[in-house]
Amino acid sequence: MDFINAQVDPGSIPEAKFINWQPIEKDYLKVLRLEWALTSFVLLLIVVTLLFFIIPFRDTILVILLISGWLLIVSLYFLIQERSFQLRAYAIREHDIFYRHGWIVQRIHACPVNRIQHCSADAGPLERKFKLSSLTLFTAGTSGADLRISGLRAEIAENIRDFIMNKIKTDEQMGN
Amino acid sequence: MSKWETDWSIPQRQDGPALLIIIFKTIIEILKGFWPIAIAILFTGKSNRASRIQLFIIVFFGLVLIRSLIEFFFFRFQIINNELIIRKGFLTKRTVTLPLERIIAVHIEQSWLHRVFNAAQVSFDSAGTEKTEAVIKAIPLKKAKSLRQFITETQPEGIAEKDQAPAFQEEPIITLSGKDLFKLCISANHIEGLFLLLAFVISVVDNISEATGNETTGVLSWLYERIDISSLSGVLFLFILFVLISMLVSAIRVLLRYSNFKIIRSEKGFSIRSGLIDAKEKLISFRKIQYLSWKATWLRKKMGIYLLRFHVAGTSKIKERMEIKMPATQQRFITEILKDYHDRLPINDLTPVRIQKLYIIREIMIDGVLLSICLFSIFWFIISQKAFLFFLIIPYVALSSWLYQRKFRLWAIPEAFQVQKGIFGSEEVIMIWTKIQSIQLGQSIYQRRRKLATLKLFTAGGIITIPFIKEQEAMDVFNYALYKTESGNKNWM
Repeated sequence: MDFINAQVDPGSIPEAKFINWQPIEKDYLKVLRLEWALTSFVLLLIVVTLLFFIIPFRDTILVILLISGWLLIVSLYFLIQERSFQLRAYAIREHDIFYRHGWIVQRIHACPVNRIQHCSADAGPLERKFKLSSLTLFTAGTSGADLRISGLRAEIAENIRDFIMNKIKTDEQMGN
Repeated sequence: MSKWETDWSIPQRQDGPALLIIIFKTIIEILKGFWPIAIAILFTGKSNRASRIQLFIIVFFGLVLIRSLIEFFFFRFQIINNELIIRKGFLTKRTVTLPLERIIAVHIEQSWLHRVFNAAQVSFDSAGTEKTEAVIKAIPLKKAKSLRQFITETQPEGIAEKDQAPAFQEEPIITLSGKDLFKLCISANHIEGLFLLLAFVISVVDNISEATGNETTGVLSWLYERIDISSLSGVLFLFILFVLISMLVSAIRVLLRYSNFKIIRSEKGFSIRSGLIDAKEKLISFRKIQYLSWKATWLRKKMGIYLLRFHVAGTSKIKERMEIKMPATQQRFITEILKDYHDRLPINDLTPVRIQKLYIIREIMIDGVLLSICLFSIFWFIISQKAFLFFLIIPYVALSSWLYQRKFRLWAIPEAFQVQKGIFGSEEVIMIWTKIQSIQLGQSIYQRRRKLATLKLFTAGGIITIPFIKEQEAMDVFNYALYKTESGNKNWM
């Protein structure tokens, strides 16, 4: 086979900034808020348990500290969750998949389709209530390399999964 | 009906014995985690507290067993359109889709419990399945073999056998001479050796004391009577003694580990052999190497010694077994190894990407100032004024981040890129673009304002992080890495 080393015009390389982002479903915010409420309640139970059962914790200063700590944690959790939800989005291109998330630290994670080994669609009880699903794309990379998109409509998650599986098969057939 | 006894397109369940196996494994896991409580219950008399714990354990056992039952009854697998689909879970329903083309191997295993019921566990290996439970806990052995045969024969090229031991040439490409071993002994981590020796001695003294019932401090008392530790000469003597002992221990460790060290190259990979008493051999296939790195402490760099590391693909167990750090006591060793991966880049002809100086300020503020204040606040109530010592973290962080920023370089050519980094020592990494599995670009609020970004390149052998570079440079690397990964005809492994 002849060796070919064609020149690549940097301007012709597809740029990630020209991506048409798809926001995740708004109903997913309800799921997140329910999870926030549940977590806050559990934390409150822990605080109340500590105050009720452990006598040294009944000092006025400690009570104020514990309650203030709880209020601070649940408020920050809520604020960060609300802000970061606005930024959550995904994009599917012919050869790769993108997911954007985070507020304090915003992250864009890109996974080439030809690196996807398999995928998994999960739906917890809250997600099922709103007909939502989370799609995880597994690669051969180490921890953190996999891409997880939460808050998709169940049928869209299936469509994306089918698209990826078909692409994998086509690439395998073409010997890519 | 076709030659297959089972129609795999119909959803299949695990066999009855799987339930017993799940229950048995759950009990073992609980006992492993809660054996102290179990012992407390068995050996304490009946009291109000013990009754409450007993009740808790019974309820917990009950819930876990119910969970096991639910997991068993809500597990199905089938093969449709050349995809293995596993559906499981009750509260959180999970559907795992594994294309048959991605399956590298199908393993059939039988524990003693499986053998009792003539059943087997089937697990599927692909490059990413360690993170997913693509396992069928128990189906009849005959069915398991039929499934494996079906999957094997469905694949056009068949499932690759485990890497066979490559045929090796007789002549090694790298060996360590006596001079090389001497250099390694001198430059070894003597402090680590000293701590290991101290730990060993303390544990031996402890064991002897326990066995004999006597306090075994004879040697220490003898030393204490003869050495005046309040005088300078006494302290100096002790210091020299410790240095000599730690150097001796390090030397022994180096000799045990690196004697008879050689690397032999074959058509498909390297064989690395070493060890004085316990001879070990590790085989590395070229195609499994994801990237290479070599590093040196400040002292070793002065002596021209580097530790070369192979970052390989595989499960964490394989990575642990294949963790190979090779002492490169001559530059030609590194060059020789890199021949089969990618030569070093012509860095003198390339413009590097560098970490921006704002990185230093960020590190000082977060890892220096913020951390010091937190530690000071906590420890002030415990150690009082000595807590001010925590503020010494700030100058250390300032120095180390300045050195890191100053040394960091990234050079790139169309086929590969090379990174140079380090704080007091140095490290270099070389990687081919097509080994990338996925890429992440991150920006904190601070970075967004300053038009900076941090890149993470994930491979099957590890992660390469490029922090605090210009946003545009980060995007260029991001785009180019995606382009090379997606357009390349070469398989990543």
